[in-house]
Amino acid sequence: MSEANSRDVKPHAMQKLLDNNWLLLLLGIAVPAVFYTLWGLWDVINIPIAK
Amino acid sequence: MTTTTLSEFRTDPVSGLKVNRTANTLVKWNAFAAVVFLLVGGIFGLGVALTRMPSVQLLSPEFFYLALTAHGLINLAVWIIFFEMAVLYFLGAHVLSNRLATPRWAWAQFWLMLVGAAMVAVAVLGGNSSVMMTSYVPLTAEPHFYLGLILFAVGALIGCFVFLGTLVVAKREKTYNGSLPLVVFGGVTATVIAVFTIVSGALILIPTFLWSVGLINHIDPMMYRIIWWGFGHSSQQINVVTHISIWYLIASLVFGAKPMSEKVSRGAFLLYILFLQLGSAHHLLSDPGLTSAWKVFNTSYMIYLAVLASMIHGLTVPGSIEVAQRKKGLDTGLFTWLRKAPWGNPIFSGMFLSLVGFGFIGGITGVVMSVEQINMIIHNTMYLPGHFHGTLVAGTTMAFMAVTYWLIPVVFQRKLALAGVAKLQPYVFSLGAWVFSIALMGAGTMGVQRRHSDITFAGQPLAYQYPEIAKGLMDMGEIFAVIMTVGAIMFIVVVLASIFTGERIAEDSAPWPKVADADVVFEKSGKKHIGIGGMEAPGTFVLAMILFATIVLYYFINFKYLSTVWGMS
Repeated sequence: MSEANSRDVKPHAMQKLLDNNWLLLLLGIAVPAVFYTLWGLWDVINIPIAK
Repeated sequence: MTTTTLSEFRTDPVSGLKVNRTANTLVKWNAFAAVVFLLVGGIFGLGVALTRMPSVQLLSPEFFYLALTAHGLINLAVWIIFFEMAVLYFLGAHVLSNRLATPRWAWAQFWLMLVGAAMVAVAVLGGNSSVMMTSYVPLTAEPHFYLGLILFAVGALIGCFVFLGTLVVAKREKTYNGSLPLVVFGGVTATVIAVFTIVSGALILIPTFLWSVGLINHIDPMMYRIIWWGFGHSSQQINVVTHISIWYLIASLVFGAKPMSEKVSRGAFLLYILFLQLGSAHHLLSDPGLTSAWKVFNTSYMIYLAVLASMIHGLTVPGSIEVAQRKKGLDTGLFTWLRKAPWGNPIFSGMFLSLVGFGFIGGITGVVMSVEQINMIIHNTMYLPGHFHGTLVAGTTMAFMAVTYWLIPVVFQRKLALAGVAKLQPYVFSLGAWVFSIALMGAGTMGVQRRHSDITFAGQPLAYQYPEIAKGLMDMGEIFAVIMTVGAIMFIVVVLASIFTGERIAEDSAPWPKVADADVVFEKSGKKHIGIGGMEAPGTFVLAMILFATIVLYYFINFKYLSTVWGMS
């Protein structure tokens, strides 16, 4: 196969992402863990203690 | 080196799929357990419905909370997750002509989930664990209630990794080329969300179990709510993704349809993976400890990216059906393709009713109630059960029922029994679910509280009189809950009759006729174009515009109502 042809069949970066189940798993855990769980817990931890 | 031999597979005469026998047995047992739990949970649900009916009030308050706990856990978690395990094994093995990666672990999944569900059931029926599905601390249940939930969740987690491992096997043994089929990619999406869900569940249920046996002194209720809803709401997002995958599957099975754009549909699933789980925040919009930035970012910004994904699926599934129908000759007018669809086939009618019910009832109301201001009107009211019966019953459960009618001949190798009952079932069930949901949301908008056995507050020191119309809506809703139950019983009777008495389909019987591929039919027809005015799916475009208009109108109605609640003068 020529170099030009091999370039033609190279999958797009987005397709590579969609074909990588383990990377999708990582993203699917990391995004809600940061924006929902950790940020939410941070809010609660930072509630001032009543004096 | 694999020890798989050809005798482990059979070629299914109904679908043409190469079926691994071990995987098939696991699909059967998970699906069968799911249907049995649907029946058990449904009986408790009927008890809840007939108690919430002001004119009936069937159960005592004590038994009402027991029944509500059992109904919530069994129907929201057990029935649905058992069925999802069946779907995942089906997608990983049957659709990919593949074997299961680790059947022993798959059996461990089944037994752990079964034992866990049984432990929870024993705890709830014992009467000392009526803490409802949310089991908010400091409400205390028996330790085996939490332990049962943990075992159930661990079982489901094992099932997820068996599915992911099965995909590795399929890739290594080259049972498919290129990217995964779209429906299997939907399964991957559901699995990713499931792993986050189950890890969240473990993070909060393990310490709660330790608290229930006295090894931990205190669990902060606000922290509990945050982490629990990462489990509780995300578990329902697994359902959404699974039933959308089923929509794509049924469009392909019944019409020989292909997605309008695989790339766009996969992109929509990616949006789900990234953003759908953030919707859990809409349960916490009234919690004082969380900042508005957190609430608004999660519900009013990020969740709209997941809503966009739902709209894409809601457009492409009927769009693909329209394109297939037009390619097969139904290319006149706006809605001929829909009018002449096989409405007597419960696989299609169930799927399409699921799509419409989920979009117009569950979907729109879910989006609108995620707005922080509007949420204040309906928080903790009957609106919530109305909304999630729109998503989980009218949407998910209806889709699962529809695909079951196809799975019975393929997986159980039996012809569908009581075909006349099956034909009617989606209509009866959807009618009940739709009106029930809408009526409860109406009552909730008038302030009727959820989680209370008696909306008249008879004998209570702080009595409150709801408008008579609210009581009427509750009565009407619960009458339709009975109709919904009749629809569910029809489904269960058809499934059990088919499995135990249906005509057996021999393995060597002649292949069943296949649905023609729409593209092949179109190519043979010699036509060049379909659709109207350059649009291939104009009917679907009109339906999508109706959905958009309904969302906008519904927003305005709710903000108008909010303005009357907070009068300014």
